[in-house]
Amino acid sequence: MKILAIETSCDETSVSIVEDGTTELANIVLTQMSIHKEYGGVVPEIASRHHVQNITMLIDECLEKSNLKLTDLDAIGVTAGPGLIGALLVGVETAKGLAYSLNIPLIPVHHIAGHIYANNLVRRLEFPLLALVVSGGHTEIILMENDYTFIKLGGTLDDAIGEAFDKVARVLKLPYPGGPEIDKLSKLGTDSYELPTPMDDNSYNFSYSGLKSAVINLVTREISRKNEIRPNDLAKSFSERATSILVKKVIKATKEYDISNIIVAGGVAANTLFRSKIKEACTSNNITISIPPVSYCTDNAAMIGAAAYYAYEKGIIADITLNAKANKKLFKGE
Amino acid sequence: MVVLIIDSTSSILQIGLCNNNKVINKRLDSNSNHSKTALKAIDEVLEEFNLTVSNVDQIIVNVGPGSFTGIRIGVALAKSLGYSLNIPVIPINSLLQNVIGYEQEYLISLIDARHNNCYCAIYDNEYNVVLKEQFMSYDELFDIASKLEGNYLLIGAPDKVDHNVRVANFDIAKIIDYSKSLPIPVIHNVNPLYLKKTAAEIQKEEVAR
Repeated sequence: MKILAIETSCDETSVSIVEDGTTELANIVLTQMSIHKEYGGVVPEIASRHHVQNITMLIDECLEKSNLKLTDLDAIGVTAGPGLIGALLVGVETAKGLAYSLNIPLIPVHHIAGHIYANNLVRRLEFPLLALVVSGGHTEIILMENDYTFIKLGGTLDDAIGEAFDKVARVLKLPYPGGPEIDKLSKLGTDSYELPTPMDDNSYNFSYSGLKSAVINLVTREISRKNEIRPNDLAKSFSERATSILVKKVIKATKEYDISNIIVAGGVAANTLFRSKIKEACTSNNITISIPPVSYCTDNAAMIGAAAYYAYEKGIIADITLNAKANKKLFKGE
Repeated sequence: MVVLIIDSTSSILQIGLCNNNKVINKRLDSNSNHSKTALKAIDEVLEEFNLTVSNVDQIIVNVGPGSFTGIRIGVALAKSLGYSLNIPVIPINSLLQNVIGYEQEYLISLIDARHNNCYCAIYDNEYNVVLKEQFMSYDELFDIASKLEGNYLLIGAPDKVDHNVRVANFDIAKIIDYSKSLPIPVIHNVNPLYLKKTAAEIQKEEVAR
């Protein structure tokens, strides 16, 4: 089954064709990062304007790259949320137009399900598993007993981890996007600043606002005392605190739920310190870990195409009234 | 020849279909959530004529100015339908589309853009451009209008009613007729006409100054 997938939830316009949820036939990603960089963050209206301008061109390019015709497609998958509403709408309308005119199924995909299924493009998911979703909008531990079913064990109560990275980067006056910049600096630093460990309790919840505020207060205090800040050390100390708790809690969950597979998803999965920490912890606890390559950690349509295949198997199909949802839910009863 | 017209640039969704010389149009009021309703409305007008989307030979899409999100809904739909059906998509701007069907020496087309501003253009009786499509304050526009030598009509968007301003027609036959004089771009180049920069861009330019 060949699915053409579209992802426009934020500042990447992406189109991909994925076969049977596992094989990427083509994946085109057009990032607007350099455009939004000038504004210090993603400007929703500008993102939407670029999506609509480029979308059919990318579809064309994707078909050409995979050597396929529109008539070879079996379904259309699309990120229906969560994300920036105006940006999502471009993808959703385009996907509806394609599915309707080609008379093939339209599959709405949850953006986070996409991030989880990025791993499926590297290696078939093995159940049961724990998915640790770490991005600018999410910090969650999710239990999956089979395909496209998601049970939330815990999540952030305030800021997402990626958000905390971005805000700390801003305090350190680092360019946007801040996460990779913090990563770069922390490689050169030592963990020598005293910062609190965020929400070190028995739950699977996270809280990053305290750690974030501690960094902001520290910087303000040092500036007012005319003390020099050691950005490398601060980046390292912050990253240590932010990522250690993730690793600790997800390993604890593997024991409670007797699970030997962990997958990591989301943009923060690209963080070097986090990658080495979780790999090390999994090795010493005899847990299989899957982290997608960095290119699959950021937003892309291939992951949406992979997730769409399993959503379709679960009977998730949309009709022509499909609407984008900025706060689309992944879990029942949330 | 089957021609489909899509206009989601105002709060009223307008879909038109012309099959040879028979026309139907569908207008959904301002409670319409265009994202949910636009393709459904297209499906319904096709069904009324016992047609499927593969019978459509050409699409005319209103590319704005108007609601930014509304414009993109119509343009994204038109582009993907046009692309997958491999048929021409003709962009028409909303200021021009709104005056089609009206007759007067000068046709002043205006669409509210909030904060005492509007998108506007002035056309002559043959829809030739007298004042090109742009964003300006009402005061500026009325100043220009007062200097016109001849009679004029004010024509507004389909969702705005004001006693001085006529409501735009959605005269499908005449829009199709007029569209024959419009260029057909490569599908990838069918793009919105916003006539206004984003707030972030304006702010950035002000800071730079």
